[in-house]
Amino acid sequence: MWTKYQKTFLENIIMESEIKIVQVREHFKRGVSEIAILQLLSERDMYGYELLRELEKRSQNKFVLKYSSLYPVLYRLIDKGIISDTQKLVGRRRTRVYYHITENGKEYFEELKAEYYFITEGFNNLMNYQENE
Amino acid sequence: MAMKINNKNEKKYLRETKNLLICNAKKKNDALKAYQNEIEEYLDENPNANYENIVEFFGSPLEAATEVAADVPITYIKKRMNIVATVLVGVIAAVVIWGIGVTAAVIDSHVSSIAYFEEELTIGSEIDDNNITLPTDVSQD
Repeated sequence: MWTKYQKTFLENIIMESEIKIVQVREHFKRGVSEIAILQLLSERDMYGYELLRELEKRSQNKFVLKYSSLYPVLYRLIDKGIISDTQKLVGRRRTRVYYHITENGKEYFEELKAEYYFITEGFNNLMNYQENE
Repeated sequence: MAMKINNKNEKKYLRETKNLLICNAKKKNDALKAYQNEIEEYLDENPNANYENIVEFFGSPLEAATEVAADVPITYIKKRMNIVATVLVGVIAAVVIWGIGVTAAVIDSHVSSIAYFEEELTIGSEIDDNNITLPTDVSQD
């Protein structure tokens, strides 16, 4: 029978491993968030909130980003000239910032996609590798 | 032009984020404006959202500030910390100098008052000893 101390110890280990998995997931998402955002913007201009909702919807809630993770990506992409932002007045006083992929951005996105497929293919090969006998 | 914020949860979130942001004024304003726009979009769809809901969707103010500061060069943060340290040292030095000044003034006034009383006592005793003559004007009349 588990003592109270042992139980707490085990619960802590499980909790820590769960936290680590969440952190790993966040790292994965961070790595591909640029591609995901450019994928959406290559279809049409969108605003921040719309991007988040669209990511949620299309990934069936598996690729959920917080705005705190989205904002630096957008800021960086604008800084590099890959996307641009345009303010539009919505209603009487609301300003909505729409993001638009630039011509340079389209080229960059194609290169990024090719790189992504190249890496994932290599990674799939690695994971499914079977040595020929 | 700054937009008026009506929702108290939004106001609280933006205020806390603002307090945690370490970056130049332009980047800070850009970030806060962007957050404000998106929070208002969110609140339009979720008018009953509370502070926790905002944090859940947008990340905590600390997360928001950390992500914004992620691109800030370390030299800027170091410079900013140096400024804060210099101001702090300046304030402490000013308080110490003021304290010394006040203490010196108190001691000085205390010493002066003792000296004044001592002087008065001395002058008083001299008067007692020397001025024993009667007024001459009265006898002449």
